[in-house]
Amino acid sequence: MPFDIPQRQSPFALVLILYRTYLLLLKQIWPFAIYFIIKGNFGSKGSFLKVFIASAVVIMIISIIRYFRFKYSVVDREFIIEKGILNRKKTAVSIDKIQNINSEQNLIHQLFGIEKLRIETAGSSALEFELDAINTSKARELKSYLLESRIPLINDDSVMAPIDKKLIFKLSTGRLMLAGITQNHLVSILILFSFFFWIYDSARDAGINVEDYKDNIPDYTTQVTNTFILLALLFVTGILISMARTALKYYDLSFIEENEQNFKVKAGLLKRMETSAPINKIQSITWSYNLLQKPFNLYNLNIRQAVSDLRELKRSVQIIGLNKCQIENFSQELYPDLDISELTYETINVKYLTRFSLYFMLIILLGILLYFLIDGFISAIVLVLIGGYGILRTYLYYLKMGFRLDKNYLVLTGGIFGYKLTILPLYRIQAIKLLSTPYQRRNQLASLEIWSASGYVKIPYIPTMKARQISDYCLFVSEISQKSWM
Amino acid sequence: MVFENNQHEIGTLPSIDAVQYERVSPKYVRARISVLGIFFVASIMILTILSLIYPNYRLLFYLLMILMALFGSILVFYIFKSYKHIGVVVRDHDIMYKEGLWFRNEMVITFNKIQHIEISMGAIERFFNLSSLKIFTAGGSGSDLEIHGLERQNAQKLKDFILGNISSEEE
Repeated sequence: MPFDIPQRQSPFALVLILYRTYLLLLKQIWPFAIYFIIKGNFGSKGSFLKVFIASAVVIMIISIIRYFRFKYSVVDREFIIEKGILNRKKTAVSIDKIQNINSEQNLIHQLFGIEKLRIETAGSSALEFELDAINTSKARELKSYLLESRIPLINDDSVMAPIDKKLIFKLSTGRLMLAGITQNHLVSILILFSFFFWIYDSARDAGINVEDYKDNIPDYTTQVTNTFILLALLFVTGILISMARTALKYYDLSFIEENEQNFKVKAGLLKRMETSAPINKIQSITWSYNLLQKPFNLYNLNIRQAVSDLRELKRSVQIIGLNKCQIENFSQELYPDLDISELTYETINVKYLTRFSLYFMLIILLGILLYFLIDGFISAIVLVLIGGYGILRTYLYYLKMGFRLDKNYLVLTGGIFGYKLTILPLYRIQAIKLLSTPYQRRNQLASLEIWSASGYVKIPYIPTMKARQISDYCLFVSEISQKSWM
Repeated sequence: MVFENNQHEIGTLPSIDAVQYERVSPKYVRARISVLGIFFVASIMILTILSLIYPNYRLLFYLLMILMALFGSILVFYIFKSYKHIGVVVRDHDIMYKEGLWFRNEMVITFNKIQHIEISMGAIERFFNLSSLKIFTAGGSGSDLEIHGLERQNAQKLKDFILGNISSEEE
């Protein structure tokens, strides 16, 4: 038994723990620190500095003790972690319950040749373990030891047959750059904007009055030009940031079929992530492209796995830069009994469009009223724009939304400015909600929410009869299924 | 477990239309109104005390009381009306629940995907001998189901029945 003696993590874990706690401390106090540095005043007899140093020392001691008290071992087919400074806490999980072991390497990890391991188990998120830093070779050893010695749950639909690893997809640098350029940059521009305001606020909290510098601005035209230059700068920086983020996150992405049971994705430049997606945990897959990606045949693939909490969904497997053919091959391999190219889709009721357009019309009307009643030009423009955008969105959503109930699958298409397609095998369904408003009931319409262990898909505004038929069929397939679903 | 795969004619497939919803305990209305009543009485008391302390703002406090009474009576009306729309059905393989007066929500959870079940009792519920049953599924709280206002022994029976079904399906 290689791991039956409790062992500590790599000594570099200590460095990491210290680094992280100090970063946390720094994040809390930096506005004060800036304030004191700018004022050149560290309190009477440097009291602030003393407090700071004292807390740093205390943190260091606590971190060292924490490092020495943290031990992991594998005894009697159980993975055990012991930790705690004053009261020792021992957490154990049976090896057989381990579902996934994901590893992660950021820049520091790579420099020291260590790895972070996250051990995921079936059931609650409280039973998930993280090992901050262990040597890469030891990590490999532990990983294969844990995964190979567990007794897999027997699935009647699959036979364990170890095959050679197969590389499904590797992202070339050219495609990576292309995918980076065609990302949705609006998000990072917005983040940049909010960061800007946050700095402004923090500076004010720290006692620096930004308004004081207003007097330096000479005249109106310069002010306008400056604002435009600033906006353009923010815009360009936003685009650059999201490109860089994509490049860092997806650098050297490879998508591997480990064996019949498991897919694996490795990616990242500074932070190397290794995520596995066991087939029986995959709840649904979605592929999508946006307006910019369409001409380059760039598809994003999102593999959604069962989670114990929906907030974990951001950890779902995301692959970018695929082309149409690769996407279709993958879906064919994962869902052999579904021929996606043959499908035609049903549409939702036109009342969806008319109803929501009406709401947005009211907003536009309010804007026009505001203009004539109180001469509120800016608010009128804003309201009309919001209303117009809302109508456009509703129209595109209505146009692109489609669904098809196949023998064993529910397939949904959609997207607003881009395109999106989701495949959900029916036997993964765990709950169905049928929602209706008074307006919908008057028109014999309803909306369906179909829930799996990775969230839900929604089909709005379809005839109630149809909704019930879909619901009945989905439940029927799900309830007679004997397959393991997560 | 012997795998059965009987043929189903489409006309005879189980349909949600055919089910008869069962209402929760009528005491649930009383329990909800008691909660509302306690809240209402407490607020009126606080407002009265405030109006004695600050006689200048008396009018404002009276106005607030009237508003609260109005809002409270609407809520009472809603509680009475919506009770008829709360219903539970237990079938062989799933549990169905519906609620909502204007915005209606019908939900079905299949037994074979249930993670665990909890029974809870608040102070007011205990007074009326009622329980709430909470059914947990994987993937966050969105598809969890909480059924309020069940008779205490019914909640326990329901829990046992569902748990029995889960374990028999897993064999």
